Amino acid sequence: MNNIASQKPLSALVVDNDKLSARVLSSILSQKNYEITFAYGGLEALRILADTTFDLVFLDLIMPRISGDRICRYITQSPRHAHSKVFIVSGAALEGHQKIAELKPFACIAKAPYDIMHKNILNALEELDKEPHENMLLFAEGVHARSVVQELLFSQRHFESILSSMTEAVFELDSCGIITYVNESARLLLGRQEWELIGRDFCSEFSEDSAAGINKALGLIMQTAHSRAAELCVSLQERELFLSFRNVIRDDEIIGATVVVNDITEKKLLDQERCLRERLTGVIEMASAAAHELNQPLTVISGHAQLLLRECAGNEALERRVRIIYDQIERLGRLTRQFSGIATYKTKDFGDNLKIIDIEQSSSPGGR
Amino acid sequence: MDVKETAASLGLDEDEYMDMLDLFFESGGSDLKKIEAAVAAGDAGRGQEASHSLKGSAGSLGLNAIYELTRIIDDRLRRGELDGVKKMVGRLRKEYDGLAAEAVRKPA
Repeated sequence: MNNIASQKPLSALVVDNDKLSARVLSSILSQKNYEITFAYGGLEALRILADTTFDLVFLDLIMPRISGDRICRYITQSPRHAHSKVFIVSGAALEGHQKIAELKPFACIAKAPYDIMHKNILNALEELDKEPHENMLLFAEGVHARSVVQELLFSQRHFESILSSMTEAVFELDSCGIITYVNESARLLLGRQEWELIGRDFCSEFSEDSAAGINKALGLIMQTAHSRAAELCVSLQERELFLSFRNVIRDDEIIGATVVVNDITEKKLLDQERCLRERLTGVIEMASAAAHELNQPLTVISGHAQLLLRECAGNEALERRVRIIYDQIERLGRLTRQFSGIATYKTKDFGDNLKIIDIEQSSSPGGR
Repeated sequence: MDVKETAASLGLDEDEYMDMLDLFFESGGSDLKKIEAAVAAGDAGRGQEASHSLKGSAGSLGLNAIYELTRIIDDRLRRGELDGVKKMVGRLRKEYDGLAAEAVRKPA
């Protein structure tokens, strides 16, 4: 790999939170006449990579706030940086190279005393001019694997696998609200790739109103270096989300926040359905009880009305009145049958924002 | 420690090595203070980042005594084992201050 055609030196980005490590790398790379840019941390690297692409990126793995593996995935997955060759430079190269290979860097170089690292880096750079290869190259000559690093990596992977298997979406934000980590569920929730989310303002994913609420919640938990939490419900693309915020404190300093997001759209619909079911049960029980209690006196009144009708035959005025009583009793009888046939919960407007049960619509034809 | 000799053993010239030592002392002092504070407070977790950083820096510059001590301290802190660490941190402080006194840039 070279820019011989354009006679332009290769550009290299060195990402390491430790200035000495960055200086050591630049000392070695300066022999190659590269144009070197430094990023003293993952967040600074993300800011630089948002505007600029590089031929080569030398990346430390263990960095605070945003680690090298996330930056590596950002570069290797982003089409803008497809031509960049990533060199992971790590103190855990030998113990973790199988996992590091999954990040698909060009090569992995072990951190070591200057003379050993110098040799390994030059060997790695020689590979740029050779035939392209698919698998990551490992350069760890003169370095020995250590069990404590293996334990550390195992523990780190253990927590990562727990986070990635969570059904809740988990975001990690820096102290400015910039996304530095997303788990699989967070990626699926927003329908984006990891590299599209890392480095973005968390609020920019939401509407203006929701963003204002989120900013307020973040402001609340970022006030003091004591453990604080906040909760918020927001809408996103016709979904209802429940957000739990918590500040992250290290060495008495707030370094960011975690946001756990639950999609409560389904839950809300189920709650509404459950509420309707509960109301319907209440209505049916009440209506059935009323119908049962009313039925008997109505039968007695109806029977007496029929007898009265016979007895007042010939007295037209009295017969008319008794007929009215009998008809109304029959009407009440029909209503009680409708009460006992209520199967759904339908309401109608009753003025002044009041709603009453629409018995006609709610009961099944012919009762239950 | 002979700066010239150590620089040569790593394939660096003395000036460049001194530049790197300056950077080492820039962050090394605060790293060591963080380790001391963490061990004094009995909070292993708080010193891990600093011990990792100091170990890496010492290792890359061939500062073997500091590297070996920090490596053991770093391992112990990660395992949460504080027994005997205080004594080792005392030895580390001695080595560090000794190096700082020796590796003073001589006027040209």
